[in-house]
Amino acid sequence: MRLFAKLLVIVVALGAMALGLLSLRQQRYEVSNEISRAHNRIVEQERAQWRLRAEVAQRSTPADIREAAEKRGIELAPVQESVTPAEEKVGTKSDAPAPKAGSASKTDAPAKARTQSKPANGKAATGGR
Amino acid sequence: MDAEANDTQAAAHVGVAPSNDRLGVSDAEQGRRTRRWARIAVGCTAAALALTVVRVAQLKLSPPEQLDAAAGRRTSVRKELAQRGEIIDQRGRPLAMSLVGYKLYCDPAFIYESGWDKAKKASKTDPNAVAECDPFRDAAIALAPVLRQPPQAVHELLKANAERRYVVLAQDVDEAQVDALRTMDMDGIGLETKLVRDYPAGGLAGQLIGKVGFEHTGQAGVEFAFNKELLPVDGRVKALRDAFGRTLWINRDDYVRGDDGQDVRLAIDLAVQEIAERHLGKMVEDANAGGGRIIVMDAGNGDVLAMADLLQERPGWKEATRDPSRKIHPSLGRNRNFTDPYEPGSTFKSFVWARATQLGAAKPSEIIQLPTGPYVTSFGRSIHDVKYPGPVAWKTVLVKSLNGGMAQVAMRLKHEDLQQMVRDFGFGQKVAIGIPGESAGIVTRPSKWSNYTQTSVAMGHEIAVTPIQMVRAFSAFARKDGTMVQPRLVLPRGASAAEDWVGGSKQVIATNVLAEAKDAMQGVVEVGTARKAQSEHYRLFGKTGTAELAVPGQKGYDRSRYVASFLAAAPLENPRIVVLCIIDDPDKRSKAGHFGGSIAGPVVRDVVDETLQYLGVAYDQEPAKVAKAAGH
Repeated sequence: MRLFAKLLVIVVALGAMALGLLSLRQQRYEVSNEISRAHNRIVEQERAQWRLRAEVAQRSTPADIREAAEKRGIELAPVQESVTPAEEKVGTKSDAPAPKAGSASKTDAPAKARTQSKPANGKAATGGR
Repeated sequence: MDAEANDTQAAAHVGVAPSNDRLGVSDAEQGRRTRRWARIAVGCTAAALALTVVRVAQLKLSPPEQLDAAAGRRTSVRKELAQRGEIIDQRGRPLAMSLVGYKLYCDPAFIYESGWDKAKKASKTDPNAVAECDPFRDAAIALAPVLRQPPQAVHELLKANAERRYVVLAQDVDEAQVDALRTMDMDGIGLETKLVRDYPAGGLAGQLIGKVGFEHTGQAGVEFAFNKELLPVDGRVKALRDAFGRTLWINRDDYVRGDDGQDVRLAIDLAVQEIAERHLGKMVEDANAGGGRIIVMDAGNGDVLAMADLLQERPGWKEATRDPSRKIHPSLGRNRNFTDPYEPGSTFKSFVWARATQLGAAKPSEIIQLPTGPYVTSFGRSIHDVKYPGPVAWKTVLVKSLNGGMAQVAMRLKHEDLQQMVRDFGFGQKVAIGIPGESAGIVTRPSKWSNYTQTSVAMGHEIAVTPIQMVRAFSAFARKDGTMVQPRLVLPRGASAAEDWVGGSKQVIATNVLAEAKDAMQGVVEVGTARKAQSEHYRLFGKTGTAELAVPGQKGYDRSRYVASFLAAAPLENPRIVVLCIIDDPDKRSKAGHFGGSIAGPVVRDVVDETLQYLGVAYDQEPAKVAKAAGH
């Protein structure tokens, strides 16, 4: 009887261990699968982002922006650039104020201005050229 | 025996008859049998388990071919696409970028087999199913609307490649087509991802940016020159898949991330490029010219803000600049701004005038004795001009672009002086713009330099230069210290323009001469040959040129074909940009004319106006003054 009880305990213990291990293994698989799916989703999102960037760039060429501004009667102002040390040394830039917004030609707004300091009138150059 | 007797006695004592006695088998025998059977059962179970383990190991390690094929591949290795570096303009606008595209392929042999299998199954309910079966026809009918092709074409393609296992149906399929194909769920077709290069700005700066080929490697322009930097390194993913082919597991070591290529930042400003191409294109059309070239360069740091090269097909004209690559694709064409030298004509006089003045060969106010007809040199060469005003000041020689005056003063210089001038201004040497195919131009060797060469070079003939060389040389007039700036097309990675600014060359124009040369070239615009280049907002200085084109393969010039140009900088006091516009072979019969001042001048004026306004450079003159000066 005692022998049977011992055997039973061993079998149950082994079974529980196997169950636990199997369950852990299954969880590991599920986590890994979820990670893999997340990875695939990231890749897809990244590719969608590439596509959207291209679309944005295609629809915001200088000519498009100029035409759109003309159509809506918007006058674009130039982005005032700071004088770089090199330019200061050579003296190729004027310190005089930029043309007024109304007189500026209609070109586009740069995505990343090299230096976007405030224009002479003190207002931030939002939507400037 | 004693124990056995005791057991019997004990059983008798409790009144139960010993069972062994009843069955006729002793307890000992029963026990032995039980143990034997138990051993057999344990042995069999152990053997069965061992066999199972062996079989599992065998199936796992070396499965039979049939089973392996039926089970399918449990792992798959796929390429993890990395992005080719972007080409961006000075302000970060993308000029070239990579996207993921799809290629549609099919397995005609599989389509055929699968079609027949379906027909055979369907024949149980439809007796005509086999007789009417044509798998390729059915596939063609299903695919044709998605591929936007006639079904016959798809059918022919499948039939012609019936034995093959991989046939590309479409090199590039768009998102809508991909969705439609996924909805179809058709056997025997597949989508392969690949990188496609997109040029969001369209054809703007096309020859400069270049193009990639099918393998996504650069074929021309910056794409070719910086292919190594732009090239990505694809990653790799090995995934365990379930019975449905879904990703089940990716080991950490089985994922190798791809490395995107480096971005290349050009000095080009897309807005300025658009301004330059728009005005150049309009003039090329108006003048019915064979082509046109334009460069806009920042005089301060040498950034090439715009560089365009147009060619125009003119039906019925036998003379034309040939560029076979451009016919394949406009972006594959050579960029003539640094590949094709041309005779600069009178624009070259500005450099000769400055050096002659610097060497004291003539003073700006000195009267140059010119006849009222062609000037004949000491060695008997007759120099022709459009007009013959007689004796004029040395400054006026430049303002009115008088060949006779230039030839006369050039003869006061030693040959070595003019040769040194040519070298100092960088002619005959490559600019090192960083793109293959650059020409150094053509300069007569000192050993072959004659008096004829001396007078020709003084007028911008017998020398061939590239537009980029001209712009670099003219930057010396636009800088306060008389040094030339090194033009740059590509900005250094991760640094601002100011940090990596390349200093000017040695001084090529003395500062005192600089002011006089600029004054004379301002005269060119205000009262000279470039009056049409006067801007309402900015004061320009520059020099026009109208050179006859050489007759191809022969000596001498074609008197009816020209290259008209205007080279200028603005604003006058603190020049910010240098602009060169060249109109190739304009039609003399066109309304626009064929002189540099009349066709290249207005292009430069408009480009200067819009570019300087865009850059936020203050106006330096009143519109009324211009109207008065121009006699409007």
